Amino acid sequence: MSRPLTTKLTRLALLATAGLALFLFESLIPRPLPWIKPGLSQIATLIALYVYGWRESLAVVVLRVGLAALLTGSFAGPGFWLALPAGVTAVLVMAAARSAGGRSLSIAGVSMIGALTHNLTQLALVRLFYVRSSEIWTLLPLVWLPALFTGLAVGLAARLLIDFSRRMSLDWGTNPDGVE
Amino acid sequence: MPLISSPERAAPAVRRPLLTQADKWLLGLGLIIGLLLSALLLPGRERGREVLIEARGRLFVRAYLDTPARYEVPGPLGTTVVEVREGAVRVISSPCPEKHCVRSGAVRRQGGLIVCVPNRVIVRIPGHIGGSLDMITE
Repeated sequence: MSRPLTTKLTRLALLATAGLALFLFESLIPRPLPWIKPGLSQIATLIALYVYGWRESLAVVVLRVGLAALLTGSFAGPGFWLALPAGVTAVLVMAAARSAGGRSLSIAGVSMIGALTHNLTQLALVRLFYVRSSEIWTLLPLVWLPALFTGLAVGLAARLLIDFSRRMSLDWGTNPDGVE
Repeated sequence: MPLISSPERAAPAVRRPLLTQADKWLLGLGLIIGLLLSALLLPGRERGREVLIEARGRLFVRAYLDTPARYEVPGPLGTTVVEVREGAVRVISSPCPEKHCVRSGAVRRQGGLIVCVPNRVIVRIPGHIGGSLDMITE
């Protein structure tokens, strides 16, 4: 295996682990409102999306959700089946928004779109499979507004970290597939 | 070998602003939509009269908010205890790991909702969704 590819795989593994650590850390923070989550682990997802591409980002998300479920003992439980589709949909929509937005939309904007997508997907899944009544939509404004701001914060954090890695001349390895 | 092998795919240039014009428009649009949604969808001022407790997707009990009672609702993880008191309903204990339902506190208005996804318990106060819309149009 070539060295740049090894570097890339190592970086991706570290990103998935960093996402996992952030996720577990976040679950320890007491939250005033249960449906508001900062989504710190998406910092790792976004970095993977911007440094490599949507496939790599998807891998980071799936690894994180899977490992988190194994560690918290909720594998294949309802939480898992909400987190996995939401994470996957968010990555796909963010990748689409990134290529559609081109240079005018920055990582912060893409991250806001991702956070909204993530929460809307979860709410829609709850609506479809758990609460089969329209009362669930009373939660929509409660997840929409926080997502806007957490998405913004997460996007800016990812941006600063990517800029920092470039200033430090961090070697991200290669992207031989030429994905994106 | 260059230290960053694919700079064209790597980070956005350091000089670019943190928020572009499009980001700001997006944020503004998101805020407007969020506020509209709040006005339309948040539970209204009207107190609810009855409360429905659903377990595993089926109606478990239909109760009145002015009748104090305690219900032990069975779910896949165990028993969720729901209490009706002083015109409000709350989940007072639940076997689920995250306890979102307990921390949701008491609901008393029409459209009010407590959901415990892991134990598949739903407590809702039926009624007209968009009570706040009436408030605006009054």
